[in-house]
Amino acid sequence: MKCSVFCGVSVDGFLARPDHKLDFLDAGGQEPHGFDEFYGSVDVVVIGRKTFEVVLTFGEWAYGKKQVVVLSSHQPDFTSIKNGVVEQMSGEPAEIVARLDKRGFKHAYIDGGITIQRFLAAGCVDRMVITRVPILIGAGIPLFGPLAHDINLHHVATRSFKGGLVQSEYEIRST
Amino acid sequence: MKCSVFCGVSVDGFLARPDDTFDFLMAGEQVPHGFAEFLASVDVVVMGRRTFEVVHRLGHLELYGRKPMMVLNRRALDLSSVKGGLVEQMSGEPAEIVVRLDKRGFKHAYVDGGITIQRFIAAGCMDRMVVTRVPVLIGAGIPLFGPVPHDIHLHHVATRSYGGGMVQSEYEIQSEAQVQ
Repeated sequence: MKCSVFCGVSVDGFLARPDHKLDFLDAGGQEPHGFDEFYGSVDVVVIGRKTFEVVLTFGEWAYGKKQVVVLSSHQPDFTSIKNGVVEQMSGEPAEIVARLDKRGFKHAYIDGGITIQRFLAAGCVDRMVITRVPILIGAGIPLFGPLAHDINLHHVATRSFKGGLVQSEYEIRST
Repeated sequence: MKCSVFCGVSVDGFLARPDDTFDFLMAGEQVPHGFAEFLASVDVVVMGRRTFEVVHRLGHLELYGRKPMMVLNRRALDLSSVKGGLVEQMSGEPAEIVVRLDKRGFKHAYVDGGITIQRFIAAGCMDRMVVTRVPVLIGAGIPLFGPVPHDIHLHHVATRSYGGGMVQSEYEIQSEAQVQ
């Protein structure tokens, strides 16, 4: 099963403000930049508990009928979710990937700062599409975190959009 | 006087490793990516003490093209080992440094070094950034960006990719007046 990251960050590398607000992601205008196509290509979404809690505040369940896995050591409260397909899992990234692969999933969308960092550090991310919004916010939830060793990236493509968004796609070379 | 940054970073935003080494930028250094043109456009270099010490120790001061070099440090530095007499020490807030250098007739400063870049950006004294991202994640190091007193809006000028997977983005920094 392949694992991909598709996310927006400030130029200084934050996915969200310290209070999890995402308002600054509008700074480059809200042009379509391939998310719908990407979302159509995945069959399971893997998010952490914090991201799950933020997503719940959006009101309507954001993921439609796509299988969502919430990584958490405790059972999250799924009672408010109508018409979603969601379950809790726990374990190391490699374990999660193996279990989802056994169940027939082909392409996972990995989201949420801590979860992305854990999967990257564990060598479990195959592809990253990072869209940088033209703003510096100074503090927040960072996309990247500590690593046990350098991770070399293979640059696939970069494109920019009228409002100043710059989107780079990388494949991750396994060591 | 305009102030610009021209630097290389890892994709996770580090200028150097925690020990100040920057081997991971070396592959990118070999590919021409506009540095010579940028250097030709500046008439003074402003850097922090730590960057000066690292570069001086490596014997690489001439990479800054024999431009006058202002090393920012609160206390006087021992510059006796520096040949050529182009290095001076200055201290003060970024805005003060800019005013003084402007008064001396400098037109375009190349600001370098993590802490110094962060201070100038936070003080609203940076006009332009050219950031070249090298395709590697190193996990820890000297970050390019730091805390800012409020959001800083950027105007994207251009982005280019270079051999070896380097991606270079140029931004102008909008002053608060422009954003409102």
